[in-house]
Amino acid sequence: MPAILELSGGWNPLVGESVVRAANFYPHGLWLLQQTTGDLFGSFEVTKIVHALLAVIALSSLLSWLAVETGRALGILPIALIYLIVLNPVVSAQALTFYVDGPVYLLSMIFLAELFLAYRTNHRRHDFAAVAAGVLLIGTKLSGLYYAGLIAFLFCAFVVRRWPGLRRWTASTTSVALIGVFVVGFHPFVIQT
Amino acid sequence: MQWSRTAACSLKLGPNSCLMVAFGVLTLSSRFPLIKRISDHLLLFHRDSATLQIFAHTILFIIAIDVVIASLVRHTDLPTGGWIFAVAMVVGGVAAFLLNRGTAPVNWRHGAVIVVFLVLWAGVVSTLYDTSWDGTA
Repeated sequence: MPAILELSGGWNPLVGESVVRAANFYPHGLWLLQQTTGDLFGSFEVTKIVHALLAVIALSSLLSWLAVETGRALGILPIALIYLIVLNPVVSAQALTFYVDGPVYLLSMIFLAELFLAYRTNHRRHDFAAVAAGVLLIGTKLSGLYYAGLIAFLFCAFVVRRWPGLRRWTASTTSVALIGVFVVGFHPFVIQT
Repeated sequence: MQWSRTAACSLKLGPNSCLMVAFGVLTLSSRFPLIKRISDHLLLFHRDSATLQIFAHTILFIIAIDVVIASLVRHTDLPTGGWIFAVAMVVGGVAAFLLNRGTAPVNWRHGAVIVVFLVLWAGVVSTLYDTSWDGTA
């Protein structure tokens, strides 16, 4: 929260140092989102809604993925299982806070589900959704960078032998890396290294 | 405020067990007409992948575009206020519309459920104004 207030107060991480020491070393993609929404709506408390937004997206992506994988309408038990995965204790516990672990979990789920939806359905919208989720994941926390790489690697290992859209997938994941590291994550990934 | 701390703790502990109980009750009680109707509506909502995906993609594109624009603006002398999110809402909304165009009809009643949930949640998080308990104040 102090980092969001610093950003709102005019701190530019590209050229200046924050008095909030930790803020100088961590990705601030999610903070930028909370800063712009906080400035627009006049309340930084309301920016905690990012947890609910991401939970809605994760729920949708996972439900769609499971429906596509199984090829039939979902029963109440699979739906309950997905709710339990989405509303895991970390996400639930951080729903009213400015912590970012919950969003990292949710974005990891969205990234994975959208990659598989792109693979199964061959719709371009899922490519773009995967890029968006990957960029946000990298910009949310340093561990998001590791999770994004791990998910992309596992997905690649799963599909590499049987997917004609491999070129598009390569374009998507390369976009994630370029935008996530050099645009959203310019500070700290480029400046600090 | 103590009441908000209590509410937050309930949120921490409650959802998973409450969900288990709720889904269990819905499953076991489907022989009762009213509960069966509720259960059927819930199932229909969750099976409506087209509407869920369109709303999810719209939100996802808006927040991703907001973060990218906000990052790029830091390289310029432009102001970094709320206008960025306003622009992102327009660009993300148009992008989601174009990418999802022609995929499936949207059930606007289901869409309204999502919007009402998010508005209510925004009300909850902005009303429970007490950041001291989570150590971020």
